[in-house]
Amino acid sequence: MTTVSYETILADTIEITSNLAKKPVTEKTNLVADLELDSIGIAELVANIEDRFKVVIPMDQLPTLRTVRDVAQNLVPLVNASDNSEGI
Amino acid sequence: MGSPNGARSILLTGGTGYLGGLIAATLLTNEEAELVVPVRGKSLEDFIRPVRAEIEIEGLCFQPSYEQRLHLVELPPFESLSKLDQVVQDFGVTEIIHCAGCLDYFDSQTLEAVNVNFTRSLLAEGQRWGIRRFTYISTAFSSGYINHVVPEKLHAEPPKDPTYYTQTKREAEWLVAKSGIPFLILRPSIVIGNSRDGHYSGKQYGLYQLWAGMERLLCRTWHRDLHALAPTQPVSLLHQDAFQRAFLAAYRMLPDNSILNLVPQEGSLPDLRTLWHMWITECLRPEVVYYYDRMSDIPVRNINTLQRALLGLASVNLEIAGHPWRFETKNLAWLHAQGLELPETTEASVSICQRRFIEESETIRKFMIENAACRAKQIEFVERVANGEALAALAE
Repeated sequence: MTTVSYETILADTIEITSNLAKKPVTEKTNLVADLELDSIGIAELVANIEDRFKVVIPMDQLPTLRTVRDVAQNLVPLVNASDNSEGI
Repeated sequence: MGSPNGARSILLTGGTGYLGGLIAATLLTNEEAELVVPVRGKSLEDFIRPVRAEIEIEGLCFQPSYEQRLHLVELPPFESLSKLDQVVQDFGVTEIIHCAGCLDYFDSQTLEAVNVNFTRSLLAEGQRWGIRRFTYISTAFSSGYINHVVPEKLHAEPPKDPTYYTQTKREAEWLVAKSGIPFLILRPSIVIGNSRDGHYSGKQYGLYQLWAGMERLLCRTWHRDLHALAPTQPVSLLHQDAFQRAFLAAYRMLPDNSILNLVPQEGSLPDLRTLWHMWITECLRPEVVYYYDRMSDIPVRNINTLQRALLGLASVNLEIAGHPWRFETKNLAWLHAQGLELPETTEASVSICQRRFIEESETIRKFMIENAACRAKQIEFVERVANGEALAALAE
């Protein structure tokens, strides 16, 4: 199984987030303060990310997702534990 | 110096929020008091707009005197509220209604800063200002999860809190009660739109978070099947007009140092399953609906991503709604005995709010038109438990 790097996951996360928020996004971008995503917006983002990476982000992790970096860091173990990581 | 025209002066915090706006509208139309409202970066015109709307929807006219009795002042940082000294003196403020609060369950820093530290600072200044009454808007759920009736008393630490929000509200209640200032604590449950026309100007919290989540997540495409956390547990929904009437009655009649559990009458309340049912039959119309009593029963890994996102989004509120809350209502019963009448929360009255929400949504209208052919004429409802076993199935 191929290990997917943080950088690769981050790049995809930035693209997904930017597409949803329709704003430029960086690793440090705060989902609420910078992109003005409300709780439903964050849920939409999570759904889009889960679809792309074929993973399930545990519900108890959702409150910890403040920045794009948080999202990408949380994804690394999930993606690499998933059987679908080669497709990314 | 007293207020400029000799009337009472009330300092109202959180006046730009939903409940604060309802309180402002209630006080302007029912009391002669001057309202001093600390705000950040808000013009009088912007402040008045929603308050005027609430007053006019009630069939009343927004009088010029209302505007004259409203005084917006700049809210200083929480640690330097003494900057309000001059304002308090100029207007002769003798009461505080503290409605400001943070509701973001997951923003622990802001919850602590606003719900606890701001309250503590305001009480300290209130003591110095010689405030004669401090009214605090708390929440019906400040007890945390307890397995007995929620008393109209201060709460001990519970085994578990639904969120850090309820913990901070409970802490603030203690601060208020121990401040030495005569107090009134109001604990409303989940406030929803007006019982007559369903209008609602609050943020997407509580039931509205669930509806807005279904609008934005589930009304993109039609779902053939739907998984819902829907225990048959009555949900403590309180119409905003009930909140306003009860607030006014409590404000006028309850003695100092009272705590009021401001909750609806239990008998007629719709349960969580009924709330799902109403939305599903009116809007989504999948072919099959799976109802679960507990989140842990739902096979979250195997359900549609958007449905999982919705459950994640609403999990806290669904968990709160699913808890078997029971409230002491002695003070409310006493207010009823004094003549207070409140609109009941029923399936019919909630459906008025739901219909208004749906009618005002372009997304839902588009979803219904585009998916007219898919939306099921008959829906099968299946009750499920862990491992997906069906307990019962019945058609609509």
